Amino acid sequence: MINKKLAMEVLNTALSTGADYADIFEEHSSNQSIRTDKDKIDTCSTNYLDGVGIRILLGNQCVYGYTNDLSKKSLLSLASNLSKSFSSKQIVTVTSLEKQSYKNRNKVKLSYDDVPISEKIHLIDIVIDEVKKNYDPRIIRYVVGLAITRQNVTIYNSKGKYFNRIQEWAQLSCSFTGMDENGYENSVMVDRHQDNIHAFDESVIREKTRKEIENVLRLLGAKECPAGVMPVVVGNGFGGVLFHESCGHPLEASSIALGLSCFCGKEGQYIASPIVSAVDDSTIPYEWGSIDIDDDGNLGCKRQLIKDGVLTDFMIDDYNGRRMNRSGNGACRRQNYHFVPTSRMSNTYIENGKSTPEEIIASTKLGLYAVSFLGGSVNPGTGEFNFAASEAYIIRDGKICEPVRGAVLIGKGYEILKEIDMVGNDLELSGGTCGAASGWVYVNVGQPTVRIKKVLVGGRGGKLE
Amino acid sequence: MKYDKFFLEAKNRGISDSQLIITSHYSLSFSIFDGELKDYEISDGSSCLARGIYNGKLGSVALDHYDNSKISSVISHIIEGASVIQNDDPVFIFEGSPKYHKFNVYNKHLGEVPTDEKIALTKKIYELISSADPRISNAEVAYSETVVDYSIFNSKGLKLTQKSNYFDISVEVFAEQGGVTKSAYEYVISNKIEDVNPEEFASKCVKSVLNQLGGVSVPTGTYKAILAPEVTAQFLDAWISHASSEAVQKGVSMWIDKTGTQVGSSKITVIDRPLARNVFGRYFDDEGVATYDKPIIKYGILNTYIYNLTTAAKAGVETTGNGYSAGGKTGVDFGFITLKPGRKTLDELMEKMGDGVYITDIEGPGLNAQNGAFSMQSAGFLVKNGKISKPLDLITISGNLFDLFKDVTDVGSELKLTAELSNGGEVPPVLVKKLLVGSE
Repeated sequence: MINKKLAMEVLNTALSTGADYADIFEEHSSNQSIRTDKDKIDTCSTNYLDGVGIRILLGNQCVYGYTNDLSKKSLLSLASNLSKSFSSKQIVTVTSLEKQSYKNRNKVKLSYDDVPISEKIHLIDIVIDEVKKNYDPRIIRYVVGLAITRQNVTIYNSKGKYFNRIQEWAQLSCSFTGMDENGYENSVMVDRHQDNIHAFDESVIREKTRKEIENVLRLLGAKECPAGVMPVVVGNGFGGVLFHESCGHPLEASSIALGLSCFCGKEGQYIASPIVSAVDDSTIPYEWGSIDIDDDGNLGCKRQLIKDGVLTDFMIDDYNGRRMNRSGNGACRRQNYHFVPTSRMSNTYIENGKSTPEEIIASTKLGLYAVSFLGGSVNPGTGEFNFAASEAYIIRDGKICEPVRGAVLIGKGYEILKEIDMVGNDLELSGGTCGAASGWVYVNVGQPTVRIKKVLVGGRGGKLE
Repeated sequence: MKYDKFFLEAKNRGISDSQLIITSHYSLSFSIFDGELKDYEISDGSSCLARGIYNGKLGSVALDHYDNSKISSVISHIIEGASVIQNDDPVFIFEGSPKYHKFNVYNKHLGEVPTDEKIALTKKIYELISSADPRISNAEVAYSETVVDYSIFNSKGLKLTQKSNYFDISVEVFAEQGGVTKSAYEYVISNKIEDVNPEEFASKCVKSVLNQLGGVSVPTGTYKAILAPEVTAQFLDAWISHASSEAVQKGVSMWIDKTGTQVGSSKITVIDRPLARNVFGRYFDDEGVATYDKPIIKYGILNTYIYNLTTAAKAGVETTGNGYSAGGKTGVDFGFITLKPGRKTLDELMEKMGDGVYITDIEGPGLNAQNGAFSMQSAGFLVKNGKISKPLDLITISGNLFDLFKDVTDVGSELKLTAELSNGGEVPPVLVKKLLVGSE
């Protein structure tokens, strides 16, 4: 472990050639994974991460290095090597390090490290039991997994501050493979908590498991999704991945600051339908994407990204904020010490509107109801996005009709937001893992049910009729 | 041996055999944006994957830095992990193959090239791209170099090491016309810096993005199509995963009992080439088994499944040297893959196709490797009378991999080294007789 004296020495070495900022990210983390093949555990392993990343900034330049040799000699050598990128006189000197306090909304009250492995396996057994209770010969394989991440980081920076942040996340999942005479289909159940093991509720696990078994069996009998431009009702909860990809990523400072976003220069302008408001809020206690303090040492906060259709704010880290003449707003994150941190989302969602989900479906004559998604991707620079649906139905005359499979939605983020013409009142958040330049971080997506007037849908089912 | 103390203590605590996989690495990366050096990164470090057989079960733990002070806790983790394993798959710590085809994929010269020269090369590519055309609105050119030293040591006396290094230069370039922005992504991978011709590479990047401007829609429907190597590689990776013995044994492969039968077009020959003398080459797998080159699909006929020690034992055959680590357990995967090229250049393939589409990019999670169904965001060009006519704006392509590879009517001659396959590959473009294109 680094002590304050060594941290100051490393920071001053890093700053010795004229950098205007430096920080040290010390990490001692672990990832435990227990996995079954059907009803028998076949893997139980733990991956320990112990390392240090050093970041040095000068104006719009960033240099970063990391090592897992935590000796004094190694850390000073890394700091010295990185500092060679600059060649001026030292302008910032760290003379003391003071502990930075923050409100710990996600405090680890019972660490998974202190939970016997039998209790963890019990969660897996609940899923297996529910699968067996709902046995169907068409389910030919299932894999239950429990993945537990503990991240323990201490950050020291040249603002003379240091702080420690410990978080734990656990996700219980079960992937199903169904098969009938038409071939295979897949479906995945996930229950996630940034909280201790008691946050898992047996009845919820059983209900989610049952629902996903029903989904994979429904997919086996589903027709191929029709293709073409059509109205799409997007379900609440994980349907919010649509906003995450099409709008969230292009509103990260890492894209905005470099002019690589379709929303550059649009602050104060309508970028969405006036019935759309959206936020990114990292302060919701124990939510999957919450963080109390970011890697810049800025406190987590609630950012109003869009208000009544008007672009009002971004996710900003201090470094990219320099090009925007803005300070960071608590959005600086990374997966682990292998990554230089950057602006990322936390809990990002479209706020509630006025319609009920029933009204939205009832007012749609012919279209697609995409209940949930596998995920998607976006190019923030062009705004082009795509999402693959995991559960979808055709809407006919205001009623949810036959299930369809293989639906993919594509479009441009800056166009799709303006096409939203109904927003529901059933907001729900749903967890996921988001991959970008600073690695994989845990985030929530979310939204109420929304309707998009027209979207290009891809599928193999011919024309929608 | 250096790790004998670990093996001895493990044995004393009831671990019949044990193994350490030690990886040490060094990396350098930076990017050029707005003509300036941005995000310069250096790193060094190591990682260790420790495995052991305890009461007939395999336990494992991974850690960043191994030294003898950690022996006791590493062994405890192996025992804890093994103690909860419930399945009865045979497990192995391997004593070694009779012969290894050792070869060198480390180019000492790459490390000797001064960093300033690498920065200058990357800057030159940036400048060539950004000054090529007023419609180029933005570009980022990134350089990344990695040196990996990979070793396996075990209690049966096995000791294997392979050192490799490589770099890649990747470009994301944007161009704008009439309020619409398009982007292109190109990269080059090698371990010889002299392989990079900055003028040629920059010109390719510029052409790649400018060609996309002014996109048009086409009627939704079925088209003849040429798939660019990057697209073919992504589809190929999912398709050949059905030759994994693990998928076959778990009942989730579409190729169960299909060896010796036609699974694709007779134009398709796929070779697993772990011994390829390039940056992806490996002469032993993650279980320490000697690798060897072998055809997986010959003229469309499935030649063999691929095996690791466990799946081979279950099937009563020899391992094919395809054991690759996947987290705590060893899975089954391919080495470097070659899709055997044909004789026609891309221009000749287009001529043969006449009218159709040329698909250059696919994006997103809309590919289901399990059942082969795909429906994906895509980019490409309309081809008329054997020539590229216009770029296509926002299209989807849909189909099924198992039909797609049966529908291949020709394979191009120009191989592209690609990282789109799990352990790298070289893939040419292919011509398919039908592909469903969705468009506005």
